[in-house]
Amino acid sequence: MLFEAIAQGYDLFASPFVFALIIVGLMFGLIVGALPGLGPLMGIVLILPVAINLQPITAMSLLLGIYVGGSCGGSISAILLRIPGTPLAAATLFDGYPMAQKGRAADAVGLAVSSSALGGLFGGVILILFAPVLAVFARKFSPPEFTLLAITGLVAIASVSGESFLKGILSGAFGLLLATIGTDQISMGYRFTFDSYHMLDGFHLVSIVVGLFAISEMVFQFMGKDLTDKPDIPLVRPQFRSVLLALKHWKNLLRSSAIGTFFGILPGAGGVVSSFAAYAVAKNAAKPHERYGEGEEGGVVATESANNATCGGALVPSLALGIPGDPIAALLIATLLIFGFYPGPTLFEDQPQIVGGIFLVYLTSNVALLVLGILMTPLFVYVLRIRKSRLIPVILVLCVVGTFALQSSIFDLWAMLGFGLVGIVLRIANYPLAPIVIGTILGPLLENNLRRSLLLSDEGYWIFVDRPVSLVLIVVNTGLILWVAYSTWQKYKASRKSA
Amino acid sequence: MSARFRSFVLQVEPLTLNRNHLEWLTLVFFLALVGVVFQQINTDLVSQGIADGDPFHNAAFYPRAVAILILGAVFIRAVLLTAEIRDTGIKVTEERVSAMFRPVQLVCLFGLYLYLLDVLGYHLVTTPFIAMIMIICGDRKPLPTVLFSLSTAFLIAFVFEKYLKIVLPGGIFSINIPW
Repeated sequence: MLFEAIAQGYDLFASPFVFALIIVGLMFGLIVGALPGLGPLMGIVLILPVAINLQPITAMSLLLGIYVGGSCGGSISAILLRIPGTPLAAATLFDGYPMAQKGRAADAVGLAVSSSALGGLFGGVILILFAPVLAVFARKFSPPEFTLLAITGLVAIASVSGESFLKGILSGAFGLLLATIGTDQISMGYRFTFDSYHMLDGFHLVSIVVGLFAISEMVFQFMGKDLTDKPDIPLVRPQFRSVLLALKHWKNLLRSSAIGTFFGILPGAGGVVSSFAAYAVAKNAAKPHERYGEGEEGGVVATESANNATCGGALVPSLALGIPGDPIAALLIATLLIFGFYPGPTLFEDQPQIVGGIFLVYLTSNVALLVLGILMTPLFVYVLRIRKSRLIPVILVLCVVGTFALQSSIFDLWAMLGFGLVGIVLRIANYPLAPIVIGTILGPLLENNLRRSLLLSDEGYWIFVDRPVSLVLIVVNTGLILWVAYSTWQKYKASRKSA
Repeated sequence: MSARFRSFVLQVEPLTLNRNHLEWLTLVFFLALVGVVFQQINTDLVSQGIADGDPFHNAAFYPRAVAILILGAVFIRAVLLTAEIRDTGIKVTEERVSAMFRPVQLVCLFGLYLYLLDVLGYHLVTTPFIAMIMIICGDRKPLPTVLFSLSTAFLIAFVFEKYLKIVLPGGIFSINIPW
């Protein structure tokens, strides 16, 4: 199955256009990753309208390039400016910035790029080996299992997002409701359309995502100070010997990549958790002479290999089960859905060429990252000097043109602005936005399978307890909710004591 | 800033917002969503005849379940928020309402841009929009601002119209460049 998928995918993958788009995606990803406040999610959001006008594998090459490049790009600003371009690189500045302060900025950036690429390759190997096995296992799943899987995805993302589980659940439920707008797939009736033909298919996912993330982010950037400032950053030229430097820490590299992949597979955990976890483990395993936090190479290796390995891990449940682990994976799933491919066991069975193509694109992106990241660093340093006063209007116009390009609809633009306002209010009130996207993607999967399960069942909801896999998932979800409730209670008690 | 606007700012200056206000506002938003769901189920969905029967055929079953979940979560959050305020008081930093003028300015300008995009078309409104944002952000040199906004607007249009074959809004004058 695996070799067949890769062989079939090779035909779609082996084209100069696919290679060119991987390069374009990586460059764009590295740029949005390096620019503080943007990141791979924003990059994918901005390029999604362009991507869905392409062929499936070429679109995935562009988006996966951004995912891989964006997950690494944040380290450049973390090392040079002491401002992580993305939260993924927050742990990188612990040792990356001190290295730059000691005059080793080029080594630090080179190490970050090399470790990201090698960690990403590790995640890719696990993806290729593990996803088909999981897909074969999931072939036995029926509506009750898929219902519980969708619920698990939502509970997991809510439990790790932001300060409050309840806020995560509310955001996720908002996403579930958004997914119900339009024509009901079973009764073919219209729900919440308010007699508007624009709403017959609901809100376009891109309007929702661009509004929630890009528009709200631009408003927040606009509220910042010094929008015309041009940071003074020295030119940095990393060398290819950085790869050898990273390989010197091979144990750390393997361990951190494994941690990153593991957290990627777990829905909700993501790159931030994995990079901090890998850093903590590397620090604990350090030799006595290694001083983590003072410019130790191992710190950069641990965080960067872990956060890029997470990408490969996150693709495992996304492709094999159709359950996204993070909002970026949710957007990749959404792209496949727009092309008419349904991620999950049937994708491996019916369209192995797509799965194989994605595997090859992902591996190639990581190899290309190694070369591009090292050669093009001076360009990314130059990009860091762009004033926000120029960046904000350009991104806003790109949001408008990109969203308009989907269906040539001005209504989509107003919807985007509306979701932008919702995003601003929710962000100020500290509500996580990622569960909204996950809820919107998982909504149809959850609703269809829940309703089908109840049709199949003679005993109502007992069908979910009667089946072993769904019972295990119920136990997992209950455990997760109880754990969150217990830790919230502990925090509440501690805050009362200190008050 | 005009004298009239300045006096308005001075009048509302004592107004302050804190995160608790926004928390309550957000809970009201979620309650309103629940209200819309139940209103639509009991009117539109009933009139279409899709709001009854077993869960498989009942199109109202699932949105109602999600709305009830939201209602429960809002209730628990409201109880916790009340307890938090009672125990700790409002210690969060209060923001002056006037601090909100800047983002509101951007949102209004963006809304105006979307409106004019439909009326006048992309090519007539995008350059002034980019230039306006740059000026509000603090760019004061007229020539670089005009050159940057003009070149960016045309570059984006060129890429989307020429290579992606997207017809950008032409407005009432139907202005589209045949690249």
